[in-house]
Amino acid sequence: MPSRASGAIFRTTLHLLQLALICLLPACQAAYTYHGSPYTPPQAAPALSLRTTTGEPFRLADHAGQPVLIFFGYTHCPDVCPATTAEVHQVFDQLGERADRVTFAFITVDPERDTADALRAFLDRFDPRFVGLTGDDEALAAARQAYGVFAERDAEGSADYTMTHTSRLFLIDPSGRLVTNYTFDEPSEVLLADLRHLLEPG
Amino acid sequence: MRHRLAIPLLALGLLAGCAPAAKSLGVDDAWARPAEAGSTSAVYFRLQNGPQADMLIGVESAAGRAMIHRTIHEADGIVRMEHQRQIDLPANAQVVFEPGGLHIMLLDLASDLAVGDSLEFRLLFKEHAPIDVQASVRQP
Repeated sequence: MPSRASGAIFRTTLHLLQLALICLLPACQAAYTYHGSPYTPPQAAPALSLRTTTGEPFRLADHAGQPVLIFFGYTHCPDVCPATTAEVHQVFDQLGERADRVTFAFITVDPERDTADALRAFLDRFDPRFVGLTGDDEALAAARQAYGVFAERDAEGSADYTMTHTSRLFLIDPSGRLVTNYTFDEPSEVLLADLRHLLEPG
Repeated sequence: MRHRLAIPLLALGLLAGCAPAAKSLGVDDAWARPAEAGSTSAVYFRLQNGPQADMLIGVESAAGRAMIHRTIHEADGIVRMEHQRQIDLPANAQVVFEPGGLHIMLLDLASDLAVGDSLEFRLLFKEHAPIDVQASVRQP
């Protein structure tokens, strides 16, 4: 049976070891856990072959070194699309000048009504830096498929149709890896935290 | 049986009407999203019901074709819109129209809605008289 003194030394040593382990962990792992639904491991973001509202080609490779946010939506969307865009706008405000290094790309799921002008007008209500993306039906379908996005026109109504669609917001890190996505119910604070992490590495 | 109950219920109703703390049906904090003419907006607000159970059965607005909608969140992050024919309003309940949930969808807007503008809409109830509400156009 150990004496009281040796027991105390043992406990102290154990505490020191625990402390050392806790201090070392961040250095060893250097792992940041993204909010939302992180990809484990992160995967190469599928390429996009779309064009912006000014008709220029948009390629993810051109945004290497910057975080990119991608959302699939439509401008006649009354609720979720403007709500998500407003949240991204709010996060851009909170990031201040650093938001210039972030790209938010809004890919239409309704190319029939979302002309380049309609996309531009919708996004300008929030932030002129936001990028609107469209393309031919095949390119848009390929983009949706690559990101696992569902989109379907609702039967109800005629010209005023709504869409059923995936409302996830995708986050691509500066090295072009899809790191996480967020569903609508997640607060904008988690997006802000993840973007701050990407903009201030280490 | 029904008639014997009706008298005390009526008395209760009168008492509730006289009591200074009694809430009556009302709407506050109404706002609408900015949007271009021809496009779509949504209106949000808080609806406080009075002591009588009621039902919201419709909405009208000169700003656009108005419908009561609910955003339904399905599996895997998929959202869809569902037209609501009526919304139950239990006695004294508060029903919140908010982003990602209940909202008034305004289709085919008659004119641009810019931040700082306002629009009017009318809520129709099964029991209560219609209520006219003014919503300010703003970002959330």
